[in-house]
Amino acid sequence: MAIIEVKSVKKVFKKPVRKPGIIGMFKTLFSLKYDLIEAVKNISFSLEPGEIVGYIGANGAGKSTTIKMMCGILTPTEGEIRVEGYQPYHPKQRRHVLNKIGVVFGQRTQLWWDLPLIESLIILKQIYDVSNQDYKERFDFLNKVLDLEPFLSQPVRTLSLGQRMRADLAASLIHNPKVLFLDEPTIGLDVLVKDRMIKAIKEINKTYETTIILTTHNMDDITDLCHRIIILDEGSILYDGSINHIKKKFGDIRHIRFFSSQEIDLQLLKTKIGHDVDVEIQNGYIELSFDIEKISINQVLKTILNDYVVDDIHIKENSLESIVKKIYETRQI
Amino acid sequence: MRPDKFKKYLAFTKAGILDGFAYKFSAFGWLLGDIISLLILFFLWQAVYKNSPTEAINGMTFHEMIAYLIFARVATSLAFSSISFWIIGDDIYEGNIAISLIRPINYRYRLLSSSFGVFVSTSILMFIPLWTLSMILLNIIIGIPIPGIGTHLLFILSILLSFVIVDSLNFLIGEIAIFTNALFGLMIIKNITFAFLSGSLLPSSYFPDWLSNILKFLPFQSMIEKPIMIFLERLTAREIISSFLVQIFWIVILGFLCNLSFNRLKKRVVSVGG
Repeated sequence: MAIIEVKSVKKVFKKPVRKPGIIGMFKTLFSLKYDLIEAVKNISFSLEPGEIVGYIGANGAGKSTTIKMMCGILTPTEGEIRVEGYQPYHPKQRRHVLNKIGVVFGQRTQLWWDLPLIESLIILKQIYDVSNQDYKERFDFLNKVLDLEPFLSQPVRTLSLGQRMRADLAASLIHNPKVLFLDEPTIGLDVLVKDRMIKAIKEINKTYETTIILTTHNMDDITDLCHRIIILDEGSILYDGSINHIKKKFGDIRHIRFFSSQEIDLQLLKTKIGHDVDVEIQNGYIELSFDIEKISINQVLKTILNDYVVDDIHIKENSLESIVKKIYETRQI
Repeated sequence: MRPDKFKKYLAFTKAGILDGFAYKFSAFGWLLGDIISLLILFFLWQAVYKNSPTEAINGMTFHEMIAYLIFARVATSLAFSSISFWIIGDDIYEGNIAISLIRPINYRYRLLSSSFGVFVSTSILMFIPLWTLSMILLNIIIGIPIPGIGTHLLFILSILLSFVIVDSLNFLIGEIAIFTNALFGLMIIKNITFAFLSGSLLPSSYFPDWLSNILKFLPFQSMIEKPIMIFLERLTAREIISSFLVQIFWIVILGFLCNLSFNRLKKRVVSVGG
């Protein structure tokens, strides 16, 4: 059974029409004109327990709005969302959902600013009615994967961003939620902390079978964590499926970059290899992009190595990042 | 509220106490300000009484007036220690109201519990030492009698109820931040109104009749004046009981208004976005 079901959900925001300048401001005060902004248009999908799903889209695509609706902060204008069978935004059903979800908003903390981290965790234990035994077990686990020990007794306001994110992640998991929403959890983190976060998220998913929904702009995180991605654009779903599938759809592209001290005639190079290849020059490097189902790597490399003096060469596969970039640009799959 | 439910709010009280202790130095800063304003009030009233033809004004002698002012000032620091105004104001301002809805607890009770924590830490850090000191000094210097244990208990009960009233009003006024987005101005208006109408600056017997008649129907007198009058033993048993009933009446009414208004605010946040 699906743990989260989103059925043709739509969200329209009413924004008062603002006029520029001070006089405009006063006019706004008394005007009743609203702009209707469709943040989310008719979205449907469902998630199975234990899945990790990457929820991606350009800024303003409606990701956060959907997440907020799924955790009951916003009410959909149309359609319905069910988490474990309950509507999270329904005043009466809300409490059935709240105990089962955890949320991390990368941009703001949910911890108590002036309290030592350990106190915040104890408060959360009380709020969610976690038994001593469960608390101990989970705390030990989180302490192990997130290494909280060094800053447990520091007030949250004195933590570094990396520490705070780990703390926030720990805080969202102390009641062992079935669903975890991560809204840009790695924003602004250095490589080491990011790796630790990613590892921890994987561990959590494996140990507790937590369903995880992740929004981020960092495609490496997505490739590391998710099998399935949902791509959102202007409030509609563009793609919902596996990462491998979308990569295939865009072709198995390889990029070969090489540097040669020789003068190279690009036109000639192109005719030698075949017309399906893209050739461009970037910072003195020549970059060839092609689909390996149409042109063999063997042939391309042979041509390059036989005909030119090569000082340096790289081969790269098509990354999710470049695919997503293309999708954002062309707004289609 | 069921006892196991009560426990989670207790956690916030504990946090409030820790918070209060974390900012102990700012408490001392306020204290300094209070001492200065007390001195100003002292000289002001000294001048008033010197030029008065009678020894008592509105039924109070100079010494009684001074005792009232000092006790009122110290009690104000306790009764007004509520932080609900700031918490809800900041939460609205920074768009955190929505996030706070993720937690399975009642927001209003959470704030009251946090505030109560600050109430406790203020009692320990400031109120009890200052109150004791004031009692002893006033007794030695101008012979104000130290009341018995019964009066003390009644006073404590009264100031506790007063605290809940102040906190509820703070919560209601803090909610206005959703329209104004300006906490500081709101705070100044609120503080001046509270200080003046609650009897923190002077007892209501000094107000014109029409104003003190209106005040009888408002919650402000229950905040400072009534507890102090109980402490100074200027109320009869009947008046004491009725003052408690009035306080409980206001707690119920304001509690109802808090829940009603917060539900509306919640609806607005949930449908429009924090």
